[in-house]
Amino acid sequence: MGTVLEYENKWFPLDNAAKLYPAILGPKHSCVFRLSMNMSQKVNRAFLQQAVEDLKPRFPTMYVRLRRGLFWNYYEYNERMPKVREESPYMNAHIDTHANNGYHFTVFYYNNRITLETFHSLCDGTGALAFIKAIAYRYLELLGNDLSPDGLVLTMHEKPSPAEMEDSFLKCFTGSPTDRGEVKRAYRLRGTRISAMGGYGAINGKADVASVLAAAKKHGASLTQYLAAALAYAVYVSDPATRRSKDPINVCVPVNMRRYHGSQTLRNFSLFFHTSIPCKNLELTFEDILSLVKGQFAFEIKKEKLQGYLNANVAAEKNIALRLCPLPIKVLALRMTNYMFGSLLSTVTLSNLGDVQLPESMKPHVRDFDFNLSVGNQLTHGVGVATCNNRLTVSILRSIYETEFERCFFSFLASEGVTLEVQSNLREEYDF
Amino acid sequence: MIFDMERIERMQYCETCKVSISTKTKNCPLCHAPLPPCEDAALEQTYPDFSPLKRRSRFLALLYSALCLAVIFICVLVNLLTWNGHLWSALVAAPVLYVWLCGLITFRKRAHLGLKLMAHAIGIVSLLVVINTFTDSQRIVSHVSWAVSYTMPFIFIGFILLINVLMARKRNTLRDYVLYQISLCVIGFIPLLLVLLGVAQPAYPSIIAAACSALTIGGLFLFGRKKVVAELNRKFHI
Repeated sequence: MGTVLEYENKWFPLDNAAKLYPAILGPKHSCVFRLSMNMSQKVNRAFLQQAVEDLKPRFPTMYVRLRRGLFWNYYEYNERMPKVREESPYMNAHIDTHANNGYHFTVFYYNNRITLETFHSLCDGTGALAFIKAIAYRYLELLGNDLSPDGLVLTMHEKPSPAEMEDSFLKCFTGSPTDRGEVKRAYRLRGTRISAMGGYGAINGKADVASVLAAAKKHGASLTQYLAAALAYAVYVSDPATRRSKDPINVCVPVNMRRYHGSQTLRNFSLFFHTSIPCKNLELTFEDILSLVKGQFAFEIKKEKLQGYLNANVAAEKNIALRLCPLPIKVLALRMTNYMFGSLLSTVTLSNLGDVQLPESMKPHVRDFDFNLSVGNQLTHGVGVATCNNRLTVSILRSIYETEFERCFFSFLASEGVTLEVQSNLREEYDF
Repeated sequence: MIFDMERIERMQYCETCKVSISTKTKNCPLCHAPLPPCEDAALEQTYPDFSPLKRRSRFLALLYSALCLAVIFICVLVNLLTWNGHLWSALVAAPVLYVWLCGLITFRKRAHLGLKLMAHAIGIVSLLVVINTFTDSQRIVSHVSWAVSYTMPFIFIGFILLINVLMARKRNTLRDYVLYQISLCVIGFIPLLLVLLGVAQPAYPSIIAAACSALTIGGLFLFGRKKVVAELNRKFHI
């Protein structure tokens, strides 16, 4: 499966993580995540459209359409052009590819904001980040700004490299050891589900990154550990039923595998692990939860452990019996797998995109970054974290009306001495 | 850009949650308590106004399906209750079933034209075979059936030629049609098979259909070999 060679034929097979998403896709499970770049000025539609069109040769793995084969889906070069649209009130909604010229990503604009919503099968957060940075860079160039990429942004003047298009899962597969990991079914936050016509609710909290880092440091934790513990604590405090439930509070944390394998791929290359906080009949403090989380991070984030997860995932894909099954049977199997091992295992997902590095010449034009994860019927809350220009944004997307969990989380951060700016898409105000 | 404390101080502040709120709203998004009024420019509309989406009505499609099924059900019921040795309801049920299924696939926007044509070819042929069977049951026994001997091969020929014209008109759509066309060509050999089994005669329409199928497959590989092989590779990759 030499990806690059096949791409010369203008198609490529889906990578290991990508194979799951088209199978579990549905109106109530969009598998769409969202990256927004808040610019310092109002966005011009025509220039943005031009920027998106200019980048087509640079990102061959993004400008594709999904096709169905007898055994597997595949991506094929899309001859049409994507259309930039004004943002709709429905965030992270299922992408209707038929109305989207076949594309699985959409670039939106709204006031000062450029937004990229991407179907997770195309790429993970890191790939989408590189793409939206390149769009914003090209857009600012078209506006007449004198910019220099400083090696931090991919520009339209370069050619795509084979390393960016590779399937790193296959490349880094070593056969053994394999490790499936054991995760208990997670406690799930209860609430009134927002109907399909209501979309999702979003609440963002923005803070000076230094103040959050200082709070994390006070507890001797890294930023992600601190936030994961704060989220678990917010679940614990917001819902007294956690104390009666045998199901632990699980925070699902994706790990960017590029840093362990030196991969440059712009496609999917993330795995995830769960931190699990049992709380039946326990009186827990934030410190108790944080020490558990720290221990679990240290246990899980090791190259050998992650390699085991990777091997287990790829070995399943390589299973000859599975490969020879017709696609509809695979779809059924993947749906069941996802139901049993995926969405039921997480109370909340936390993905930290890290510090978004921008070239100096671009920084004055960009205010900050928002990052929204996909949620669905089973996974009610997704928390995306991104830092840009020293502003840290914690974006919580939810599929229920109640905001008690968010209130507990942000109040906790405020009580730790963090000054917070809160934004909302006001879905909590509507009554259906 | 350093975190703008001055801007934060001009926002609304929720005393309960201890957070500043930059979205224009009357209530705190977190605890829903009313916020003190504030006219300041630091407030913004963060997201587009929300107006609940209208659900796309599926009423017409449902009504259509219900009507078709009701007609079939009533006919079969009347036929059975007034049984006189003839299954005449099949003659009503088969066309209605054809109109129902083909109507559903024809008006499905997402289905490819190649798939629709293939469905219609198979649908019409099956319908005519049913009509033939129930109107002319004497002839079936004597192995002369117009539906199998004449209409089946000619309908397949018609559809194969039609897809050939569509592919020739727009060369870049060849890869989208190729799998449907190959499937239809394989089906195009069925009339000849029926002749060989002695179910249909005369043989000449079936021979023409088989020749047409063979020529089309040959032509596809001769003129679009690269595209056809690439498409088969894509569709059948394991």
